Amino acid sequence: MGLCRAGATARVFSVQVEVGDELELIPTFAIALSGCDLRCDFCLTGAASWNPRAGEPLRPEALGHRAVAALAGGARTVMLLGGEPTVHLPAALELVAAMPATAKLVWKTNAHGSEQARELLDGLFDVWLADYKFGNDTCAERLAGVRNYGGIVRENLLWASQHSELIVRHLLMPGHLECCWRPVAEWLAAELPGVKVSLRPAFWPAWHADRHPELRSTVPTKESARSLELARALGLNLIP
Amino acid sequence: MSRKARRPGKRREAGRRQGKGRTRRQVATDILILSDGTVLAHNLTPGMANVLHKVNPKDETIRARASRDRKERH
Repeated sequence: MGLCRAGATARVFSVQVEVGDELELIPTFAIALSGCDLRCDFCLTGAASWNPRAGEPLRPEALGHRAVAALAGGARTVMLLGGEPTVHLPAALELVAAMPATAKLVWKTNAHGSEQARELLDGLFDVWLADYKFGNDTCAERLAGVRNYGGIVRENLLWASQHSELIVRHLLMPGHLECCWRPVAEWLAAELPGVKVSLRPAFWPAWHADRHPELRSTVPTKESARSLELARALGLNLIP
Repeated sequence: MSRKARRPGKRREAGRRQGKGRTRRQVATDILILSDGTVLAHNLTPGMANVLHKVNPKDETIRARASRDRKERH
């Protein structure tokens, strides 16, 4: 059992229609699976994301029924997220099978999965909504407890761009504009020009963020403005 | 291989009802209000987006999301 500590039974800690995501995806029927392979100290859902036993057992057929109702009620997409849904790949595949065939499916991922995992996901989701959180491996190891983060994520983003629609999301962290956002933005501009980029400035100091002095506040207004300036200077395709 | 080809055909009847005995579903939004009045929200539901829109109609981020609620049925 690895860092995620996920067992054979997948669990769900949140199921609801949400409108907080990118405008082109909302309202979305969001299904959040417990457990994750990262240990981001600032995780908004840390209690459930770090605990694969949180929530209730996943029941694909029942969720399929609820997805149908949500879509009939105005939801435009169905989103699988976590935690990190990749750690429950067999259950996630079952869930996809239970979804309405015409539903637009979104795979919300930390993009830190293996080559084998992404091959199994090929063709199943219409949109990959993928995080690119850290611009260097030092910050990734310090804040999320993982090594070799950047290489794995970049490889997955390049793959996803060839196999589905791709939206790359970056959560701007206070004090990490130069070390994290700038390298991420520059790489996206160089390697995935035109890719949809969702820059999220609404960091909030959740979970164990107070372990890191720079993460004990929200993003200062000036820093947020500078992050947007950088994105525009690089010609990134920002989406709301 | 396309999704349609790989996904087993388990199309569901639209609008199918669940059993009467089911428990009421819980929905949740986390909200953080900063000292300068900035409101940050996570897991923003349509209902809460409408509430926040009424609190501050000038907030463009919330306005765009509240407007998506008009066709919702709860």
